[in-house]
Amino acid sequence: MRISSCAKSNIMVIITAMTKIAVKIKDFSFKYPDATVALENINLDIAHKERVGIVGPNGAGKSTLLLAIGNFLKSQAPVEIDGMLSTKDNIKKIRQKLGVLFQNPNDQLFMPRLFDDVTFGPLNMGLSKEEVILRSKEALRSVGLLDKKDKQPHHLSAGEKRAAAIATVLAMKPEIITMDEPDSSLDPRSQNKLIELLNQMSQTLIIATCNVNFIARVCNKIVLMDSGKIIAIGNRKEILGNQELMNKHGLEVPAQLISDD
Amino acid sequence: MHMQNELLSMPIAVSGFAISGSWLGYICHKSKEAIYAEKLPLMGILGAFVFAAQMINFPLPLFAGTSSHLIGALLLAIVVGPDLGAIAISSVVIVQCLVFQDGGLLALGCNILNMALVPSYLGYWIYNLIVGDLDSISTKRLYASTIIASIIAIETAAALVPIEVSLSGVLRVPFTSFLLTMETLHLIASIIEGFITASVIAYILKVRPQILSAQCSRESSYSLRAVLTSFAIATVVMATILSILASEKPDALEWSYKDRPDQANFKPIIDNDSKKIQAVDDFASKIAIMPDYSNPKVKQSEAAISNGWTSLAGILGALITMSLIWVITTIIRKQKS
Amino acid sequence: MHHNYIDRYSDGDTIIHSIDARVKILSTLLFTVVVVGLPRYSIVPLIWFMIGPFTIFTLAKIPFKFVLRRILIASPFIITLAVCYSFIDSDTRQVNFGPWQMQIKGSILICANIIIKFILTMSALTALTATTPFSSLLYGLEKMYVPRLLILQLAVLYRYIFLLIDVSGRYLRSYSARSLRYLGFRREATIRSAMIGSILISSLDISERVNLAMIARGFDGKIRTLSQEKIRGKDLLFATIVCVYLVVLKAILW
Repeated sequence: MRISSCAKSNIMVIITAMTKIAVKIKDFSFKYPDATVALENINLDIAHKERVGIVGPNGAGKSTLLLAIGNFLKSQAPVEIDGMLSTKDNIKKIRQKLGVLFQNPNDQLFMPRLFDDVTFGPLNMGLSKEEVILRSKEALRSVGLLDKKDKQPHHLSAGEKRAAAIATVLAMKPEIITMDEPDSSLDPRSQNKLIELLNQMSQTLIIATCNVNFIARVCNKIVLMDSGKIIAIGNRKEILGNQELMNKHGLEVPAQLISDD
Repeated sequence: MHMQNELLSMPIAVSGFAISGSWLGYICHKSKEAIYAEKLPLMGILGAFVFAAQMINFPLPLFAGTSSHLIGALLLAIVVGPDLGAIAISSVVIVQCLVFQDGGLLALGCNILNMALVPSYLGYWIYNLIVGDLDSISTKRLYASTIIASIIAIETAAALVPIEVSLSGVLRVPFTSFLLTMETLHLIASIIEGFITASVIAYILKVRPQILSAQCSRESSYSLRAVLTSFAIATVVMATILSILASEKPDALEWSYKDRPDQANFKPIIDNDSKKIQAVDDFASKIAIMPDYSNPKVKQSEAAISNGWTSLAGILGALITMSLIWVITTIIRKQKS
Repeated sequence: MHHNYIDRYSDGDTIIHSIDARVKILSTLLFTVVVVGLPRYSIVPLIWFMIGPFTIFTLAKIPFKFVLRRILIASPFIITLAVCYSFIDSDTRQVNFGPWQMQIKGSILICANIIIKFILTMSALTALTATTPFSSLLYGLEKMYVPRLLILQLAVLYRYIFLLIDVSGRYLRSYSARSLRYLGFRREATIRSAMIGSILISSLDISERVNLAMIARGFDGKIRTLSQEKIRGKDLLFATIVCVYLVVLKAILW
């Protein structure tokens, strides 16, 4: 059982490696205005349909890397999304291809009614009214919040807020979604719901978190970061199962992988 | 300082809307390039900040048990500039009206003018005149400039209230005593507001000065021009209204409530002496069901008594109607559930 | 922390809640204009205007206590003014009420008249805002040609009121948990200014992140909105009832 799942993931890695690159970052470095180095020499390729977990301790640069992938940072080095550089002409296309889930759902839900938040993205894409409504309802249904579409965001629970934020991204039908600590401040039940939802999604997912138990249940490919650098890239077992590596960077081996041995 | 509907007459309320509407429209139009995507959430969230800041009460030193809170117009004008600040405070006033019922719907235009537009621009302009270079500023100068700006801005805004009320002529409070009361009350408030604003600015200078320096580098002359233009426009509009009112007042308002108490707000736009209108009025006052007062000069005791009974019946009738509505709705609701 | 006191009843599902916001806004405006324009000395007939807001509160299941509190909170300024005014000398008037007849100063009549009108228009405004979610109000305003910039702005403002009030609530609680005595005005004021300052800084930070979130979803400064609300039969019916009610009252009573 264990061998077959391992083999399957290996096969998946091989298959995805052959398809087109979703995200390509080469020699990317970034300094904040106060001269602290946030990212140093990042090289990362992510294939379509891949689920990548970015793990690392607090302040490792995970969020900054996601901002870099989202083309929010100004740097000399290019970030390619689906083979496109972020030029002025391309940026609109990139925004449609790449959905961004921010760390705090309160930053992402900025309208007084949930449905207005979900329609915000599709409306900006210039879709027809019918299409906007259709997509938004579909997105809300897929996260299980369709019956709460007229609620005000501050009336939602933390788990619902997170799901709502995901719906705002899904409504734009992006091919790639980056998520910054989607598991934070969720109780175990909401976390399980979120994992179920993520595992149903077919998009390329790039998830940054320091919760290894969570990431082990969602992602195959793991990127370990510490102090602005990529330390290791590998599959779930190689990185998360490596006791020494995990402990060295302030993390732990997920319970799920320990019981496997 | 929120004004209510009932203190204003229709022309003043409408011109309040006209002035603040066009002023806001002008800002939005002028800063169309400046208010692109990134400023939009900023203004909204700053508006929300004002509500949050108003939660924090400052206990007053001289009067135990009393407290005051920030109004915010001057603070926002200093931190993000008068244009964005004025828009943010205007939305605060709108939300105060629509959500918290502070100030009436009709008075909204005047309230925006008094509480958002005038204090933001005037305060910012005066602050900028005095404050000078922020990098090497002494604490004394910072406090002095903010408090002076605050006093002038808020006292001017407070003076607008009695002006608008007496222009409206609904409440004939003697103008000078009303003005003096408002000014004295707001003098204390404005000094405290200035003090709070200054210490918030001092805190920001200590913690994150770059927020303020972005604002300082901006040229202040254009906002001076904007202030002067806006004041000029406001003065012309106000003067026009005033002159209209002044020409109308002696015969309209006086006439209406001295001699025709049953038609108190009747405004003889065409001609007071017109027999036809008089006849129509007389007829209207005769068939009116519930005049609950009568002219003291006319001794019609019988009519007065019958009038009295109709007004009692009127009150009872209204109360009975309301209780019927309540009973019926409750019964229907109970049956449904 | 929950802020149910702000929009406790606007999410209801009664017939009043389902009426289109535009119709409700215009009705409230019409009601206010009519009431404010009523004669200055009349008092008793005004009570008939209360039936309108009263019916709406009843139908929309809004407790009268809530309405009363709202009106009381908004009242100090106007009541002070009106009461001050009632001391001003003016000619007396004969007032007949049922079997009673009395001479009352005209200024007291006006004072009572203003306070009653204030209660009426405040009730109408409360009826509007307590039965309409803020987002629907904004939709209504947008349809009535209020600039979209202002609408989106107000939307963001309303959304973050709750969040930032929470922040200041937390500051105040954690401060009161540690402050044991009054430190004098200067010191207390500096502490509170620091609280306000840091709320301001975090507001600026939030706005930066919200700005990113907006850009991430393709926002380019052009405001697009989805307005699907259409005026239906019941909205027209409501509007007609309001108009007929106001016109009939005005015609009968004056």
